[in-house]
Amino acid sequence: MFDQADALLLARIQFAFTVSFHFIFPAFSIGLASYLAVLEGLWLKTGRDVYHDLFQFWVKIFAVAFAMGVVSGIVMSYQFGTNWSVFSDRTGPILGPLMAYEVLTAFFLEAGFLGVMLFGMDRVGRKLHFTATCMVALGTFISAFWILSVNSWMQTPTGFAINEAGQFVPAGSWWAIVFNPSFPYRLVHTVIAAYLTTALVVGAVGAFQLLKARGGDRHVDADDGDPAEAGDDAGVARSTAAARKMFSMAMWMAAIVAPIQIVAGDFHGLNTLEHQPAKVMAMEGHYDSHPDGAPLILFGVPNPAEKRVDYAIEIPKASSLILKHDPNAPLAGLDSVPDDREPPVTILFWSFRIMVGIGFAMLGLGLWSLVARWRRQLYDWPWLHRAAIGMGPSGFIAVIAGWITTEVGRQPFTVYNLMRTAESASPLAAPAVGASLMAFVIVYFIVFGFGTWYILRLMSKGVLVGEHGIDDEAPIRSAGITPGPAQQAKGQAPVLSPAE
Amino acid sequence: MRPGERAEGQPLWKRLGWMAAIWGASVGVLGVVAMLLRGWLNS
Repeated sequence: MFDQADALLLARIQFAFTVSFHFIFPAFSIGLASYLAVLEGLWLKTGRDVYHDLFQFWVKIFAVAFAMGVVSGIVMSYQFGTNWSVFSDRTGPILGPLMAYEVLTAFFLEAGFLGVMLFGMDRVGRKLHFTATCMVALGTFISAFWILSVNSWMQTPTGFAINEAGQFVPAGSWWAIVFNPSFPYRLVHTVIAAYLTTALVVGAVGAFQLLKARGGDRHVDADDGDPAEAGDDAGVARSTAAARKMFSMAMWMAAIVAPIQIVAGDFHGLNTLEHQPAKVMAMEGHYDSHPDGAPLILFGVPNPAEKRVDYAIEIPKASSLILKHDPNAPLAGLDSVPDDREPPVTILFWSFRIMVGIGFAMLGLGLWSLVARWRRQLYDWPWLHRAAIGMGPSGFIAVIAGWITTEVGRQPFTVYNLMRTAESASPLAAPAVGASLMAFVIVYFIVFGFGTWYILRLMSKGVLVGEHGIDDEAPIRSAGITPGPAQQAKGQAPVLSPAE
Repeated sequence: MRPGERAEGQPLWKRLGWMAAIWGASVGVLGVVAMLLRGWLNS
C-alpha cells in the first residue's frame, strides 16, 4: 500500500498527526490546572459554595484531559526512537536532559499531587488539598517550560558545539541552552494561549448552561437523582449560579488576556524576524523584497510555482510598520533565501492567518462581554452566549494553527539552519512507517474520540451541587446572589443579580 | 459537614502522612506502568 510513498513524508505526517492530537490536551490542562487552583483559593478565601461546586465539576474533566495528555505524550517519545533516531542520536546530549526534567516534573509534581487533588480532600483537609492543587498547576507550567525550551532550542540553537560524531553537545553554560533566544517569547505566548483556550472552553460551558437554564431544560432531564437535574429548585439555583460564575470569569479572561496575547504575539513575531526571517517572510507571503516598505497582505492565494500571492488584498507599507515600526523600512523577501532553505509558504500563510484571526475574534468576544456587563446583560444576552459556545473550540484551533506556523516555519530543518529534516529520519522503509501511521490514526480516533465524547458529556451535564446538603430554610447565597429557595418557582429561571 | 472539615479534626502529622501516602501511591502506580512499558520495549 505504501510501497511508492516517501518514508520521510510519512514520518512527518505521523509526527504532525500525533503532536496535533497531543497538543490539544496540555493546552487545555495547563490552563485548567491554574483555573482549579484559583477556584479552590477563592473557595478557601470566601467560603462560597459556588467555587467548590465549580472545582468539583472541572476537576473530573481535568483528570480525563490529563490522562489523555499523558497517553498521547508517551507516543511522541516513542517516535523519537522509531522514526527520528538520527535526530535523537545527534541532539540527545542537548535535548535528552531537558526532556528528562520534563518527565520528572510530570511524574513527581503533576501525577503525584493529582492523586491528592482527586482523592485527598477528606484525608488531608482543605489547606493541604489546596497545596496539592497548586503543585499540580505548578507542575503543568514547569512541564510546559521544559518542553518549550526543547522546542525553542530547535528553532534558535545556542550554547552547543558539534563533536567528532556529529552530535550537538553542551558547550559552556546550560543557561544558554535552556534560555535560548526564542524561548522566553515562545513560553509566554504558548502559556497565555493555553489560558485563553481553557477560558473559552469554560465560557462555552457556562454559556451553554445559561441557555439551557433559560429554556428550562434543567428541569426535564432528570435521570440520575441529582437535585439539580431532578428539578430541585435550590439545586437549580445553585448550579445556575455556578454557570454564571464560570461564564463571568471566562469573559473577564477573554477581555483582559486576549489583548495581552496579541501584544505577546507581536513580540514573538519580532523575535522570529530577528532569528528566523524566512519564517516571517513565508507567514507574510513576501516572495519579493520591498526596499521602500512592505505591504501587509491580509488575504490572497499563495502561488508557489510563480512565487507570488494571487488576488492579494494589501495594506501598503503596513507590514514594515508592524515588523520594523517604520512604514518605509526595507523588508527582505523570499527572493533573498535560497530555494533549498525556503519553508512551505502556503501552509504558513494560512495557518498564521487562522491563528491571528481567531485571536482577534477572542478579543471581539471579550469586548462584547464588557458591553454586556456594562449594560447588565451578561447573563441575559442569548446571542452573546451562542457566540461564546461557538468560540469554545476556537482556542484549540488557534494553538494548533500556531504550532503549525512555528514548526512548518522551521522547515526544511529540524535544528534550524544546522540539521535538515531529511537527514534526521530513521532509515526505515515507507511501508513500515505507513503501517504505524495507519495504526495511530485508527487507535487515536477510537481512544481519543471516546475520551473527548466523555469530556463533552460531563460538560453538558453542567455543575452538580456538592454532596453537602443545602439548608432549605436558609436563603442560598452563592457568588453574591441571594435567591431564596421559596423564590424559585419550578420551571422558572432563578432571580439573580445581573451585575455580578 | 463541609468538604475537608472531617479531616481538619485530625492532627497535622496525620494529615501530612495521608498526603505523603497518596502522593507516594500515585507516583508508585505511574512508576509501575512506566516499568511495564520499559520492560515491554526492551523485550
